[in-house]
Amino acid sequence: MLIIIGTLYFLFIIFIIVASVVIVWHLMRYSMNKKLATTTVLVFITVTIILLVMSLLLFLNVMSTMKKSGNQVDYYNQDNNSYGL
Amino acid sequence: MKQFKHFTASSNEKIYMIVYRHWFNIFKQYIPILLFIIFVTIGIATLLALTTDSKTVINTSGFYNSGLYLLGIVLYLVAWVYGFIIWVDYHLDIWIVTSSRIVNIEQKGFFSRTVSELEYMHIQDVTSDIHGIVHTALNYGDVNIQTAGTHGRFTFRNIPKPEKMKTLVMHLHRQALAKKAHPSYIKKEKEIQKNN
Repeated sequence: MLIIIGTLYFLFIIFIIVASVVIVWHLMRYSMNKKLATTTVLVFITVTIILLVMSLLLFLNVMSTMKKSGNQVDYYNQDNNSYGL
Repeated sequence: MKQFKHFTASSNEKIYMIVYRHWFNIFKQYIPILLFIIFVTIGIATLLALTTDSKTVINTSGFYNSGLYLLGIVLYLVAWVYGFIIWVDYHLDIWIVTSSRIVNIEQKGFFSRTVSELEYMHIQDVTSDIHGIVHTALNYGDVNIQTAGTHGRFTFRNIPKPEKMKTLVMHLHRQALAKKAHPSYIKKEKEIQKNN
């Protein structure tokens, strides 16, 4: 399970990085308005990096939780203040 | 001399206008993305609220919440990149009106680009077309240029102020014809024919 999720996430990240590189390359190479293109690229790169880092941290958190619980999810029962269903 | 990829203006060529599609045209494409983002946000917020409201909740410090947040971030990332793909298509789809020609650079996806040029002398007829309530309210539409020869039609699609563009193109066309009828131009043409 961990391997499948990890591989899917890795492929997704690769896809996002390749798409981002293509976007930046196109804007910088073909734009007629270099100033606007530079601004757009900076905004794009900044937001993309923030989202990628956030997703990576969450992914690592999910992975470590799954590893710890041996692919089991902890359920908390409020009635008797205990874990498990 | 101004030089860009696909377009180089000669030293005596003046660039009058660089025309992009009207902003509403790109806004229309962003509506589904905005709806998608709203849907994802509400969906994830609802799921998070449901887990904390119910009597038996999934351990909030661990897997479930992080998984939901991760799903949200991944979907935002997809929407963000897709939004920029639309922006690139919009930003690189341009018409350049110069003193001697019109250049149309059409971006189709990432790996397909069509560049066509039209000289004013080849223009036969220019029509502007504003069709529909939104187009009329925001004053944007198409300008169709009928050309002589094999080129057929040359179209400015969804550009702002199409009537102004039509007037400019017609003016430049008349200027080109007047230049062609000038004695010095005829003399030059005859000299070229003689040399050939």
